[in-house]
Amino acid sequence: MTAAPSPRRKSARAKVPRRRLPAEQRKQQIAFTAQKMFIEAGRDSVSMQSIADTAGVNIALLYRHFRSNVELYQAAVIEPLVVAIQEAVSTNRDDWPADAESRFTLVHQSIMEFVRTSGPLLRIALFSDGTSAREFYSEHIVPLLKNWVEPMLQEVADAGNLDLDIQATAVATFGAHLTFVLYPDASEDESASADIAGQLASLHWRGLSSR
Amino acid sequence: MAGTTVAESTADERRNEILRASRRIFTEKGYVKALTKEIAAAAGISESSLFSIFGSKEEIFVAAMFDPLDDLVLEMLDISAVVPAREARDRQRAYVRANERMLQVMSEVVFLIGIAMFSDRLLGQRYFDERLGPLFRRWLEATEQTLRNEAGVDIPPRLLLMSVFGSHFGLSLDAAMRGVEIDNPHCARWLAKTYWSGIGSLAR
Repeated sequence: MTAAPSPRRKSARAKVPRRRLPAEQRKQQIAFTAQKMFIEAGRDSVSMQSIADTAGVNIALLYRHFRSNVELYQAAVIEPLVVAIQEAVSTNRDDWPADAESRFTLVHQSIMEFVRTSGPLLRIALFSDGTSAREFYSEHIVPLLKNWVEPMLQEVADAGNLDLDIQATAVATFGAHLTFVLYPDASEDESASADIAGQLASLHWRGLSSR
Repeated sequence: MAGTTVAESTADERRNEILRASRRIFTEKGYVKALTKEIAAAAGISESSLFSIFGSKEEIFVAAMFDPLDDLVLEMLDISAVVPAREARDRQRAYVRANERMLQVMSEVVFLIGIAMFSDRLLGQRYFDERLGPLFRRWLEATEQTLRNEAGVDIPPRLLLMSVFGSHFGLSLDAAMRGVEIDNPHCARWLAKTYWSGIGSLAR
């Protein structure tokens, strides 16, 4: 469906000299290769064979490390996301500024930073196919919103004495940031993202803080 | 459309039935794994009658996603064109209605947007160049008009459009992923407060 060169050109890749790596390192190398290919071409367009070719291993060895494409997908996409989500959830801010608007800006910056760094993998986990996406969403994104975004917004509401619809704000904010980051012509630049986070915060603040 | 014959309206219905069925299948399977055979079965027709209406899976996907979105943007342009003559309270009501409409459409196509825009970079880039980019440019015209209706508001139109779109997308995605109907009035209220009150507090 696409005219661009696909990563399936066996002849070019199969010649990569194969070095013996310790099993654990080899496993990681395969998962990392798969991750890059999923990001580049989408989950469904990448076969186990093409991953083996690109990683410079034969298919039997690949299957020794990962019994199925589902297992490889877990290791390449879901596990790194779970780590990033756990990291986000476990950051407890104890340096909240006193005023509500500064807190709100900080919340937007935190969400933007998470979405920017996890964007390439989130794209795959959320939009490859509905069934596994739903599973990922309920197991990992729902807790992320509930245990990370919502408590941060509660800090905002407390500081400003605001009647904030925290759940809707969390979901809509996450969606807005995701759209900015994944939009096809979006800049991947860190400072550009920080800019957008600030602008979004001030746009939303005008409405949410109005009585 | 006033003079449609019975045969034409049946053809329209069948087309819509296929598109409805395809949204279910694309949402379950994703784009690559969805089969035209399954879409035909879900629509209750044979695969060959499906191919008498659509040339390919891609054509179905594009229609399933863009038919409702193209209609929506036309409605938004209409709303933004008639709104300026009205009082502030009526303008607010018009925006709330617009939000409800957007949520309704977004709920139908949220996963398809996800696939087309976000799941595959190259696919996304092509849909963007050919369809989504032009659609967003027309949508931006409606947003610019809306902002012109509210004197004294200095929000960059693109920021507002992307943010409104993204908020609708997030709210619809959340409901779709959790397998529940979107609470449209509740979400529309949130959107009205966030965007309308924010703009309203700056206007005049």
